[in-house]
Amino acid sequence: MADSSTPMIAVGDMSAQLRHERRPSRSLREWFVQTATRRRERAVLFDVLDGIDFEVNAGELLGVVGPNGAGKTTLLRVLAGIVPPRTGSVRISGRIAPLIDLGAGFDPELTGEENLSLYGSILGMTRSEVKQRREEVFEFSGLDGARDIAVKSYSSGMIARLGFAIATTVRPDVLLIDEVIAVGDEAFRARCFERISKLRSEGTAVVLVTHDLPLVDRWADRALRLERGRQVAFADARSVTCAYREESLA
Amino acid sequence: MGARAASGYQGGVSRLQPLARVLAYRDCLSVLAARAIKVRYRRSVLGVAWSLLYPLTAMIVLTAVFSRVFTELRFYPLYAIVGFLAWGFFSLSCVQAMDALIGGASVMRKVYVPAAVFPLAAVAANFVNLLLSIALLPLIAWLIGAPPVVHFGWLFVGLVLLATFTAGLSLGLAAANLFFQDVRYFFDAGLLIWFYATPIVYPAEVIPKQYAALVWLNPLHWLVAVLRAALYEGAAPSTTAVTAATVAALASLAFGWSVFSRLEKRFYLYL
Repeated sequence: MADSSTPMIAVGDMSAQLRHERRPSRSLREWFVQTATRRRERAVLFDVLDGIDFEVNAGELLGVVGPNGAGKTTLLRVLAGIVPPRTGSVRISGRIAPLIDLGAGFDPELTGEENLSLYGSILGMTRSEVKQRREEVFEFSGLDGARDIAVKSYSSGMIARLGFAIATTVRPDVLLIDEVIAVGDEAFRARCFERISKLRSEGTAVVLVTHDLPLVDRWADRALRLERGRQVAFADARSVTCAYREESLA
Repeated sequence: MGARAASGYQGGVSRLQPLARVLAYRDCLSVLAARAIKVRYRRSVLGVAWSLLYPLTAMIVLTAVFSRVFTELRFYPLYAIVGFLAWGFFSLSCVQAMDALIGGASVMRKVYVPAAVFPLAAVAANFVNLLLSIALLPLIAWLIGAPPVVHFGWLFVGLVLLATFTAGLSLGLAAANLFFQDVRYFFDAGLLIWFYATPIVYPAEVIPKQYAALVWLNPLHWLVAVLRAALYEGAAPSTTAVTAATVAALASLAFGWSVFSRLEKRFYLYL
């Protein structure tokens, strides 16, 4: 477990950019024409995140709230190492489990068991890690009877259960969750939070993106509020959600 | 926060060099390759036997069309099939590597995976296929009454060189195709010309003298020559062929890898 004095996630004055998709097709043909006529269009980049500055300690749960398009998912993608920060710094300690979309990387044609190998390996697990945890994954997800069935005939709830079970089976140091738990039923949600609590007690830092403010009140220690890519607040969960509620109603 | 000085991203495998990142995900690479093979064969009754059907069909067609044209070649079907298998591996790998990187985008949007894993898995899957097909060559030799001659040492060298060359070019093409999605179509057209410009279904000697330089500069000609020496002649290839094939393989890998790792930094904008 990491030293409690150093945060598991430290983001310092970070900004990140993405590209405006001007037109759907990008072709070599066009590029040649533009180069020949000296009218090269450069990609238009825009700030999706700017001035982001927070930290998450071991065992802490950070709730990230804000309206659609505020940059919450992009923030998770920066933390996961998918989108690089343009300025500022992002430091993550240890193993990251990104649950930005449960079942990203599942192949619908393959069975549940084959997808365990596939998704596990995509998350960076070794073959033996996957093998050791096979029984536990199917036990936790309650999909033991469906392990030999192609995932295309799973319901979205079943996919979420399997994805969550796989991603959390090897204790991650940092768990990034994007609203995904909402897919499962009440019983499964309860089990998810039970597992998240257990991971936190072992030192896992959790970042949870959600629109569900009561969820943040109940589970988060601190919360981060984003608006149009800017950080509006980073404080204890209740004060952030209260202010957010009041301003949303006003 | 003491470490404010360090800018950029630090976490996960970011401390590793690009090549070490791919190696750290080698299990992922093999699972992806296994999936590609599995999905290809799952729905067919024949299963892995499909890998037999393709070279056999090619052989029958080639024999029917050309064996009376190139009578100076003994056991023409075997000559053609070796070149055909090498070519098939090369061209399918490149095309599928481009598709694999595009297909991997939906994963890479949500999970960090070293991007090179996707095209390399496509190459690996085709390589397994190539090995299966080569294992069936003695059967084909027996069918046409040719003596089974295999030089295993040079077969190994030839396969390594062909795989290296293919992996390099596949990486470069896959990266370019992510930025310009018509690269694949240009390449498809180029492949057609390249195929007929390479002595695969015909012997190198039929090329007119004034075009000899084209064959000389064609890396696939040398790569095929090494494999053909091992599988058709059962002898050591010429020093020229080995040297040229080695240079081509290393140059392709160096070029492909440097293009890929340079463009990879901007992939996130296009996923």
